[in-house]
Amino acid sequence: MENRSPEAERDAAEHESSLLERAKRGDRDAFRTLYDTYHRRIYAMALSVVKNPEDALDVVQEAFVKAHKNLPRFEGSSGFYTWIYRIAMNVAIDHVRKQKRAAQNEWEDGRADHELAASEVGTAAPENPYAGVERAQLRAAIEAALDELPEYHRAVILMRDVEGFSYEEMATVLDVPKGTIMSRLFHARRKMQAALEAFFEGKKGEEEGS
Amino acid sequence: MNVDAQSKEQAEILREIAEDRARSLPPEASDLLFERIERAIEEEKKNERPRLRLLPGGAGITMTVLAAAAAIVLMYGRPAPAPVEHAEVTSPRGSEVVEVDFGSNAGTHFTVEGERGQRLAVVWIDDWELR
Repeated sequence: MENRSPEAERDAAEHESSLLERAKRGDRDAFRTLYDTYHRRIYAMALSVVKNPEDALDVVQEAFVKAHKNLPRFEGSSGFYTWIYRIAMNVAIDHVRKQKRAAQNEWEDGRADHELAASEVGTAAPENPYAGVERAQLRAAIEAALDELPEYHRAVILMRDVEGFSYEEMATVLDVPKGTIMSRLFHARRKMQAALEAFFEGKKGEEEGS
Repeated sequence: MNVDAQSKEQAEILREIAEDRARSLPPEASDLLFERIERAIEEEKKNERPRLRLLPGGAGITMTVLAAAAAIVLMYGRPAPAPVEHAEVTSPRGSEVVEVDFGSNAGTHFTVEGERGQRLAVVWIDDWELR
């Protein structure tokens, strides 16, 4: 999230509003500018959810095509980015679900998720699990932990930690109640924590063994 | 390090990962992707069905009119397509079809005599598109 002055925020909003109006009238350059502004962030999110560059490109494509089609109905109650993020996140999650169905994998439901979180995650946070670990290793561990999460948990972590969305915005994006968002975020964080604990335990074991 | 500090560092690293992933898309891939998007938008436009706009209460008339159109065409053969962007159509027995948006399709309109001698407006929308 960028930190901009209120004036800069207002100017950016006005510029975007003007672009949207032009894009709604079929102005290709305006639509291209909106694409140039946001497609990389959308791609990054899509890649984090679908975990495959080709599929992530497909998600970006579908999201922008849907956005273009629905531009006349976009009223601007949220920013364009939140709106297209919502479209793209849902396309990405659908994509993962279709892939799972295709692979005939079992879908993890909320209860199983809760039980897993309760059984696998310790309640006490380690005193200083990050100390002495190289940032690159930590980054790799976080990346791996994120990839292991089910997509609906990955989604809330990305929206909260990367995009800085409010609970209300997250609820709007995923079209679920705010309480569901809070619950998912809680379980997602605990899973991340559990995965990272395992990583740090491994590091500790390596150090003791050497 | 407490839990808050851990969360903060984790969030920072997640943002770093997202930024790197965003940058991993080469400019030429961005351009190609936009071309793909434009092509897909064009395809969508081609596949859009033509819209028919009626005055309130005209929905039933629409169905009658379209069914009649199909029947007439079956009986008398396909009418010569007359590309019309917007056509004003009226009929005396309460049919309130005032405008037809053929979209990108060819089409025409005419009237026929109904079972009770009433005049029915027929809107014919061809299934091919104007280029």
